Amino acid sequence: MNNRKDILKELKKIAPELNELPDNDGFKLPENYFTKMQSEVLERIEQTEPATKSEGFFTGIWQKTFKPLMAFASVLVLAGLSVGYFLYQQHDVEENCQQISCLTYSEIDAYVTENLVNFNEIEFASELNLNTENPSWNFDDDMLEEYLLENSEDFDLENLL
Amino acid sequence: MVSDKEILLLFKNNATKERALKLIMDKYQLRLYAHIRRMVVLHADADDVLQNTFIKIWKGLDRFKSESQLYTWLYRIASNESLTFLAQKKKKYATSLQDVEHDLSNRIAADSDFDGDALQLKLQQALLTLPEKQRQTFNMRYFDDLKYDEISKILETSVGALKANYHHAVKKIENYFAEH
Repeated sequence: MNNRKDILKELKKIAPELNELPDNDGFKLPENYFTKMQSEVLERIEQTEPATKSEGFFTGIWQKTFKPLMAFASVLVLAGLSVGYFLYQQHDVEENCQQISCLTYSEIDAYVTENLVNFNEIEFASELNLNTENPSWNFDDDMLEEYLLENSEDFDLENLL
Repeated sequence: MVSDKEILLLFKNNATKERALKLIMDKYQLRLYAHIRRMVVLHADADDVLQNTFIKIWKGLDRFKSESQLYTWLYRIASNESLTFLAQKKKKYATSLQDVEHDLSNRIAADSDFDGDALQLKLQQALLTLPEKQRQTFNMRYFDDLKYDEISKILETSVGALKANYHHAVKKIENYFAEH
């Protein structure tokens, strides 16, 4: 009350020509407005933040502890599976490389050398349908390789040399 | 009536957070509505601003530090929301704030949510000719009966500046009444 008196005194001092002003602003409040307003505010909050509803004890523990742990474990499992798949693929490639296409030249050379017994160039040429009277040695490596592989048991390295 | 301290404790707990907000609304809605309404004038606009104010309170109360009183903090949010609303209204209609307030001045008399007498209408129209800060200071001093240091904490303006604002506001109202 003292404050109100001070305010009116101050007003008179600043504007002595101003007659008394009304104490109220004249604005009307619609009936039951605040009940409606509160519902609307709470509804807006629920729409934007559904997780703010009260949590049970176990829900809280799940949300705060187990859910992050599960997420981390899932990431680890996925990473492990990816690495495992990659390693398996590598092993598969290595297995496939046991086939002849992965053999190096020196490995083929060593095999042929080990199994070379006899080499008859005339017979070789006839196998290749070449002119046996005057055999032309213009045959390619593939032809030579094929012949050697087919007749490897007959070749004698010492005689060849 | 629940104390502000109790309300803040309830708000910190997720299980009672909503109840705390309802308590704040019950305790402060009338004062905040009146403060907002005096700035934006129309009830529909005041309703929008008040709801936005409580949404902001909900989102920000966790960060409220008890260095100031709760009411000061609530009032500040309501003040800022009102000024933001008026600025947006100005932008929306691509007019100056003076035009917005001139338009409001014309609409007050026809507003079904205004049932003041001739003197009250004249005062509201006079207030709408003032710059926002002067209008705000006048409303808080004259209608809310707040002391200058209380207004200073809410608006974060010095007491000296507020006294100057109030002085100019009252002189302009006096001139308006003399001319109309």
